[in-house]
Amino acid sequence: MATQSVGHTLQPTALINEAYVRLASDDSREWVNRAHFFGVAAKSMRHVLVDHARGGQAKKRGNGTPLLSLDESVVISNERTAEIIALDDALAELAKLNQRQSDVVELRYFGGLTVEETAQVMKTSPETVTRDWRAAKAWLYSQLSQRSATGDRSNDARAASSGS
Amino acid sequence: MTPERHRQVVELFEQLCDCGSSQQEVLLAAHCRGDDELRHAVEAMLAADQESSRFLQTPPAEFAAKLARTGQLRPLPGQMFGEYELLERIGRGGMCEVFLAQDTRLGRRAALKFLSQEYESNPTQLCRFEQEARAASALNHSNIVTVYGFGLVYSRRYIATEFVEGETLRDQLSDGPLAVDAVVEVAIQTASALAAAHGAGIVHRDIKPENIMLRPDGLVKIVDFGIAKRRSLGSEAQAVEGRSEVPTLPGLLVGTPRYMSPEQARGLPIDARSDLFSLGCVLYEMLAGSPAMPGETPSDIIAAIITHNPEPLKKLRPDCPGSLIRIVNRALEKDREKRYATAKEMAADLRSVECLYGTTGQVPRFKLRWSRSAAAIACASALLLGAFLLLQFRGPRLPVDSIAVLPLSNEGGPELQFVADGLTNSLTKDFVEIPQLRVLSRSSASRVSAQISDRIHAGKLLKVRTLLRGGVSGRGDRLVVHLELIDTTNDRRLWQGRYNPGWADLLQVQATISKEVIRTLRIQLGKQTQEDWEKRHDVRPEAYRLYLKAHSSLLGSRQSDLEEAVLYAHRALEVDSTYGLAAVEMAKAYIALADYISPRSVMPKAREYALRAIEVGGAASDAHVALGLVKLLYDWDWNAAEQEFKWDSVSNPRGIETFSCYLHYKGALGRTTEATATVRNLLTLDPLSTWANQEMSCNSYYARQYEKAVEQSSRTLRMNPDFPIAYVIAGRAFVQQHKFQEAFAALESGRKLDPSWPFLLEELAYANAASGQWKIAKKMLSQLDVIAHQRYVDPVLVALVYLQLGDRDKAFWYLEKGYIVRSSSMPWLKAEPRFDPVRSDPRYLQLLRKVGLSN
Repeated sequence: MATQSVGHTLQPTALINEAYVRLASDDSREWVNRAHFFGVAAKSMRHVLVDHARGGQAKKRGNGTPLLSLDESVVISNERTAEIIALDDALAELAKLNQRQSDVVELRYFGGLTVEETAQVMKTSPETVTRDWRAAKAWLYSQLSQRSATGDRSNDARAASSGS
Repeated sequence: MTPERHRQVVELFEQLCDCGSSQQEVLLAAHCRGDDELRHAVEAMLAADQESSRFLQTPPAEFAAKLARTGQLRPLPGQMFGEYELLERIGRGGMCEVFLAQDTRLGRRAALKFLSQEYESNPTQLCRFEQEARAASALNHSNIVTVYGFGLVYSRRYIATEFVEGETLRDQLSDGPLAVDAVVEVAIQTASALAAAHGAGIVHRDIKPENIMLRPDGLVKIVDFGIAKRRSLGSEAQAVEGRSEVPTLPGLLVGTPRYMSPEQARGLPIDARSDLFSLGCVLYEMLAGSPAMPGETPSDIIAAIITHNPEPLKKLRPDCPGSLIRIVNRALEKDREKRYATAKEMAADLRSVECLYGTTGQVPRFKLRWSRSAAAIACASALLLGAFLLLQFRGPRLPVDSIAVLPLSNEGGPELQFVADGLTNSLTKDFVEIPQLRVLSRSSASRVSAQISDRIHAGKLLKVRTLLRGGVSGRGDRLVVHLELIDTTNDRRLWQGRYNPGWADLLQVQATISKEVIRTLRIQLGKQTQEDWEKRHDVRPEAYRLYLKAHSSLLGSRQSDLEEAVLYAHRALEVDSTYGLAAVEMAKAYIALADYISPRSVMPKAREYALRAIEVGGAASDAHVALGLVKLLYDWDWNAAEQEFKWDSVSNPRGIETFSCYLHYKGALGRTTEATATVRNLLTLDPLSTWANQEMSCNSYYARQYEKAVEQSSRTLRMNPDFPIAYVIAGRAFVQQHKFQEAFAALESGRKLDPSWPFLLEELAYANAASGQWKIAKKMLSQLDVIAHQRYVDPVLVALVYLQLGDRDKAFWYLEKGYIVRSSSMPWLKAEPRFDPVRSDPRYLQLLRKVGLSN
């Protein structure tokens, strides 16, 4: 009942543990190379956060939630789950429009890689990464701003359909 | 957007993002000629590019790594600590930080106090912090802040306490000395708190104005047991150190110098009497406006404590009664042997001052002057502001056996009416289920609340010992609910409360009020009652809000009100499918709708929801009444209906609705004598109940005592002029007496309440037919015929008109129709006087058999 959201706060150590466990427990996986590892690790981190956020969406925030203040509390506060989910959705949209830009965001934000590391993993130049990163960020930010501005309705609908 | 389009947008964005704004404007115009979509997309990205410098800046793993490294979490609003969600920081002091929090499990507010990070590693501070939690949690007293719990999450220790709204006595003193009655009131409450603490073997050791909180409703709360010390019980005079306590070295001072006792100032062992000295200092300061022990520096103050006799109060406060001055002086004795031996004794003396100087029962109201800085000062104490309330003023001497819940007044806008209605109803419901308690119905209580300000008189009129009354208003997204419980024998306030709930806490607050009232009335709840209460109070806040809306709508009796009730109850059940009360509300609304809509379409639903309510529990007695009504009015299964009503009357012998329904049952079967006895009984219990009066009037009508019926209906209408059925019964009774002018007047008034309702048109047609105005009657019948194409028209009443017009065939045709559509009037086929002309008609007798009313 009213207590469903309790326990959905993700402890920082749990986040790291869970991401690691997901990586390590996949026996079938053979690491092709370092780049492959980072790519999978970034995806893994994204999934942990997003799964967690969706699971914790029982307690959804209403209109007016600023979606653009992703910060420290993303990791540990269920207040910000809507932001993570919105970001994940927008990123999925972006992947349909430009897979490379979406990959850059995944590696840089969820994977925590630098521009150079990202370029290495993606076998491209740091300049391309920088350009993609800037465009992707601007696109995502404008998408998320629109969502906040339009009363965040789609967000509520998602929350309802994600087992809240 | 297509990938191709996206490529176009990004290309243009990249081309423009490093240009100046005027150049951007020119280029945009050039590239997007006629293509607004492209232009908007690029503009949005350019704007975002400017604003998004922090966006996605730090990967979550980096935060996580940092947090994992330190293992510590800075408390921030929005975070969960155990079951608490932090809402807002309300205070920050040297050693701690205090947050307003929501207990997500219990749905109540709390104050969470965190020890500052730098003190977390200081064993003495840690020890004190834990000691505070333990000391205060050992105490259960209305004048001591309630500790909810103590926890360690993310390496942060916190104490969760009751959230107290108000200001400290220190804040109050900044406005100068207090009035004598206020001083006495604060003194009594503080002394009672100390008596409780001392009784539990705890010496506070730091009684001072900063640690005495005053709530706006007049309740005093003692806070900060941070340096309290636990004595082993039984050794009154000697402080015994427990192992986990702060070691008190000889000569080490603990406490605030200005309010220390001489023995404390000298570092000697202390006992309960030390707290009394401190309280004496506080009383002195409240009266004098300046501290009892003057001095600039701690050592000056300590010297004063040991040697100085404060300036005589008599001189400073000539208005202060001698008995009060004697109490203060005795508390301020340097030699503890000369002081009061116990706080209890001191409290008793203070109470006698209160009696002598006429401050009885009047709670001085402290003005609420909440400020953030006050919060910061009070932060050293664990408890801050609040939404919670209990004022256990001296309780009644005798157990109380009766209560009237006066309808809460709506002091906010019309949008809060449903809250006022709903809370009144929820509270009444809680009390009705307690067998030891007689509860006045809403209608009786409404009568009184409207006009009577003299509460003793009101009590006599209602024949109740206590009245619960109050109001609801709103402030932003929070509600303000205030209530008081009055002893009508002496007009004393037994309890009062002021709450400031959000929508989500409303149910919790309602449950708290019920519990407080029961506690004040000294009533022990039975196990079943307790379980029912819990079930009812364990509901999602949104479902409760919708239920309140449904209930409020159901208070109206128009079709639109009832349909609204169905809608809200339905939504409440969508939110919480196991909400028994909402299911009952649904059932009741459908039953009432059978007067407007074909019973075949609503009664099966009423049954479904009544059964569902019985199954899920929490509203059993109401659910059985509803089911009984379906069996009576729709199934025409008298025995089954009786079973349902009986089930209820066993568990709830005084429920108004039970009586009412039982009465319908008896009346329908023509057992009018039994029915009359039942109503009499009901009226003794609840003399001003509109329903009971109305039932009496119906009963008199079926018993053919028409004058009485008219008289009782008029009384009902004096109580509530919006009671359509009272006009109907009065009209019918007038017709039987051939007083047609009066009958028309009554029925026309009733019709005005809801002009589109065919029921009163049917009654009017009958009155016209009976008075010989057949033409009008026939015209009305054809009107009804037209209406019947669009909405439900009770065929039984139409049959009566035809009967009066002498057209028996038509009459029986309509009665047969009434049988087929299962009209709710069918159960009265036998009792209704207007069927007298056809009593021996075989068709009538056959119909009686079919309905199950022949003997």
